Amino acid sequence: MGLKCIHCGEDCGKHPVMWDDKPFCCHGCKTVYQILNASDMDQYYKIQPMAGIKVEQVDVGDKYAFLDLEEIREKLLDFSDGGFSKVSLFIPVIHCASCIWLLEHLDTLNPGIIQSTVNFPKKTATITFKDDQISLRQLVELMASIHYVPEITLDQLDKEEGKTANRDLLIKIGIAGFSLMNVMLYNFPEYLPGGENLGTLFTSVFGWLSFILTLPVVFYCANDYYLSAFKGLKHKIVNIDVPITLGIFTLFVQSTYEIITGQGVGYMDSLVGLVFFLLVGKWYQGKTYQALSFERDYKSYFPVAVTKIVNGTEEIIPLSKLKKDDHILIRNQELIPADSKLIKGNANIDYSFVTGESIPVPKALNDLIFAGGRQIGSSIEMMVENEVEQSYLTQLWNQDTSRQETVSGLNDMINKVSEYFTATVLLVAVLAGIYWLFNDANLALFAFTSVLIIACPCALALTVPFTFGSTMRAFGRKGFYIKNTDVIENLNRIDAVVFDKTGTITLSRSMKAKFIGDALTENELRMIKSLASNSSHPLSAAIKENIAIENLFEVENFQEIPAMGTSALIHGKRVNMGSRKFIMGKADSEPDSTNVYVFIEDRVAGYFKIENTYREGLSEIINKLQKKYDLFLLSGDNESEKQNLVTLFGSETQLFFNQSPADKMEFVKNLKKQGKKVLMIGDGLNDAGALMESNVGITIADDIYSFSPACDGIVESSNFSKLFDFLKFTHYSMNIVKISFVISFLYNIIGLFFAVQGTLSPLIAAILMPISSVSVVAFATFSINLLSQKRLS
Amino acid sequence: MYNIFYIFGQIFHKSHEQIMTIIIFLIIIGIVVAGAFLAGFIWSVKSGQYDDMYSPSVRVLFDEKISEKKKTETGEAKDKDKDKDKEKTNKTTNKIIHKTNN
Repeated sequence: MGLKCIHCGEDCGKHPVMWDDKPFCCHGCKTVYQILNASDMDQYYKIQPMAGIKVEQVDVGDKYAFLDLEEIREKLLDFSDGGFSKVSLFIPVIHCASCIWLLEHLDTLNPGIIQSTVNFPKKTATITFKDDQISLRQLVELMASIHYVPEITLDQLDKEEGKTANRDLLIKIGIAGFSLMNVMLYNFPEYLPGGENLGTLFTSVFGWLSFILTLPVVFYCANDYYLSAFKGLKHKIVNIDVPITLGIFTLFVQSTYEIITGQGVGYMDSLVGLVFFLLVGKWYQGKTYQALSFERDYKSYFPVAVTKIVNGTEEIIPLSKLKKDDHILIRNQELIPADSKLIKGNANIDYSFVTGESIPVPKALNDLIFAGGRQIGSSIEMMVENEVEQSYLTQLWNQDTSRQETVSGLNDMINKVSEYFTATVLLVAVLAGIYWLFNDANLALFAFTSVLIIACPCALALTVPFTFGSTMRAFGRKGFYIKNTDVIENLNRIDAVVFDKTGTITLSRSMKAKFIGDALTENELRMIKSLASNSSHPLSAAIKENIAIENLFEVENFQEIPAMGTSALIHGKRVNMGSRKFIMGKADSEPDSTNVYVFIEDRVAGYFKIENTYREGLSEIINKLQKKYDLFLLSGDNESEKQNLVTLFGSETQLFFNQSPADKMEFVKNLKKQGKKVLMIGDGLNDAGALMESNVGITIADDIYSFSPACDGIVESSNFSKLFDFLKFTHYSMNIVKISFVISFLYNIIGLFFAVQGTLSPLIAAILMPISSVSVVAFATFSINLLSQKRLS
Repeated sequence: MYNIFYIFGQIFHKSHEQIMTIIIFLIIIGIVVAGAFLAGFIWSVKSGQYDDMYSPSVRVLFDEKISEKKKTETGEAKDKDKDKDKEKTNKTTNKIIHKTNN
C-alpha cells in the first residue's frame, strides 16, 4: 500500500509521480493538478478531497476534430447568436460537489467561457461561451484535459426537449392544493355539530365559492385521468381510471346540483382532495433517474463522425452523410460504423461489441466486415457497402418487437380488479336506487349518486404508484435501476432466466492466466511481461496483468504478427509468444482454447492458459435461481469454457455456444412461444435484440451511464449478487399491493353502508375518503421501506 | 344569548348575521392573496426553477468566486481565520453531501 494520489485517491504504487512534494498515481492526474493549481483553483480539493477522475489516455489529438464541422456544431449547440453560444454537454463522470464547483468555475480556466451551470441529477453542464474566443472543439478539449470528458453521441444530435411534462404535473399539484385548502375551509362548518344551522347566505356564498375553485381542478388538473379512461374504453378495457373518472364526474354533478338548488355546500372538498392525492401519487411514482437514458438506441454507440477519403485527401464527415461506395479510413481502436469491404491495410477486427469474442479476427482484402467491429492495429481503408441504417447490426437493434403489451396504466391485475369493481359498484348503486324508489322516492337519486361517490377506487389507484414507486426507489438505492413500475409486475411473473456469458457473468476486463510448464525465474517472467506490454492484443493484456513485476526491460525488434503472436529481442535473447502453431509449428490439439505458448532463448517454456474470470457470487446466485426458475446460458464464444460452465450451472441448465446476436434473439422468441415468461440478463452489446425480445431485459453495467439500448433495467455490477433478492422482493411488492386492496375494500364497504341508506353526508364522505387514501399510502410506503431494510440488506 | 357579539351588536344595532358577513369579505381577500402566491408558484415552475432540485443545495455552500477572493484578501491574520472557517464549512459540506449521496 503506497501513498494515495492527491488528485484521484488511487494507490500510487511503488513509484509515485511527485510534483511540489505531492504524490500522484500517474502523469495524467499530475497534469490536471498543475492546471488547477496554476489558476488558483485549489478549492476543488478542499470541498471533496481526492475528487479527481483518473483517465488513462491523455492525448486527444484529432479526436474532437468533428466538432469543427458546421452541421455538427449546429445540432449540438442550444443557441448561437451575436458571438455567444450555449451548449449542454452530458458528462457522466460528475459525481460530487467538487465536480459541480469546478465545472461552474470553468470561466477561471478560460476567459472565453462566460458562465456554466451544472444540473447534477442529469449530469449535464450548460456552458455559455464567446465563440470568437474559444471554439466548441477547444471547449471540449479543455474539459477533456481536466478529465471531465463529455460524452457526445449521435442520439444527442437528434434529441428534442421533453422536460415540460414534469412541470405540468407540478403546476397541477399546485392548483389542486390551493383549491383543496380553500374549499375545505368552506366546508368546515359542515364538520362541526350545528353546521346544519348555517344561514342561507353563507351556505350559498360558500357553495358558489367552492364551485368556482373546483372548476380548474375538474377541467384541468384531472384531465389525464379522463384521457386514460377514454383510451382504455376505446380499446374495450376498463382500467383503473374509469371508476376514478366516474367518481369525479358524479361528485361534481351531485355537488353542483346541491349548490344551485341551495341545498348545501356539496362534496367539493372530497372531490378536490381525491384529485390532489392522485396527482401527488403520480408525482411520487414518476421519479426517474434522469441521467439514465432508457431510450437509447444504436446511435449512442456509433461515432459522430468518420474520416472519408476523397481523391486521396482525408475529410471528416458526419456519420449521417456516409453513403455506399464511400472510402473511409478507420484507425486503431476506432469502431467501424457501416458494413464495409476491406480495400487496404491489415485488418484485425475485435468483434466483442457484436459477438462477445474479444480475440481479434484477421480479415483479408475484399472481405466484408460488419459494422460494430473495432480495428486493432494500424489504419485501414474500407469501402462502404451498406449505409449505417441498413447495416446488419442496426437492423438487429431496430427490430420492432411487439412492445404493445406494456402500455403504461394497463397493468393486468389492476385492470381486472377495476373491471369487477366498476361493475359491482354500478350494480349496488342501481339496486339501492331501485330499493328507495319503492320506499322513499326522495332518497332514490341521492342513494344512487352516493354509492357512486363513496365507492372510491382512489385507494386502489393510489396503492400502485406508492407501492411500486417505493419499490423502485428501494431498488435504486441498492443499485438496481428499472425503467418504470411495469417492470416490477413483469418481473413477478418470470419463470425462465437466460444468461449471456461474456461480460455478463464474466468480468469483461480481467482474465486469469495460468502458466503450465517449466518453473519460470523472475527474470524470465520479467522478459515475458516486457514483451506482452508492447502488444495491444487482449491476450497479451491478460498475461501482463497476471504477472506482478515492475521495472520492465526494453525490447528490440518488436514484431506482432496478426493471428500468430509477438516476438522480440530482450538483452540479445529471443522471446516469442503466440499460438501453438506459431511457436511449435503444429496446430493446437485443443483448437478452441486460448493457450499462449512461450519460447525463451532456446526452448519452449510452456504455455499460459487464459480463462474467463467469473463474477463474484455467481455460483450462489445460480443455486438460488435454479430452485425457482429454468436457467439457460447463451454464449457468443466457442466451447472452450464449457467445463467450467457445467460445473457452475449444473447439468440441469442448457448451455448454448457460438450464438450470434440473431441466434440469441431467436432463442428468446422460441422460449416465449412455449409460453414462458423470459428474463434476459446481458451486457447489452451483443445481446440487444434478445434483451428487447424478452419480457424483461436487464443489463449488468460496470458503468451505469453508458449501457445498452432499450433494456428494462440496469444492475450495477457490484450488486449483481443481490439479483435473487431483487426478484424475490417483487413478490413482496405484489403482496403489499394485494393487502392494500383489501384495506381499501374495507373502507368502501363502510362507506357503502352509509351510502345505501341514503345517510351519506358530506361530513362522512370528507372523513372516509382522505383517511382511506392516506392510510393506504402510509401502509404501502412504510411496509416497502421496512421490508427493503430487512430483505435487501 | 349574552355572548360578547350580542352585546357588541346591541351597542351598534347590528344582528348576529350582519356582523358575521365580514367573514365573506375576509375570505375573498384570503383567496386573492393565496391566488397571488399560486400565480407566483406557477411562474416559478414555468421559469424552470424546479427542473433541478438538487444542485442549488450544493451551490449554496460554495465560497465566493476566486477573482473576488483575491480582491478581499488583506493581511495574513485575516487569511488564517478565513482558512479555519473555510475548513469548518467544507467539513460540514462534505458531511451533508455524503449524507445526500448515500
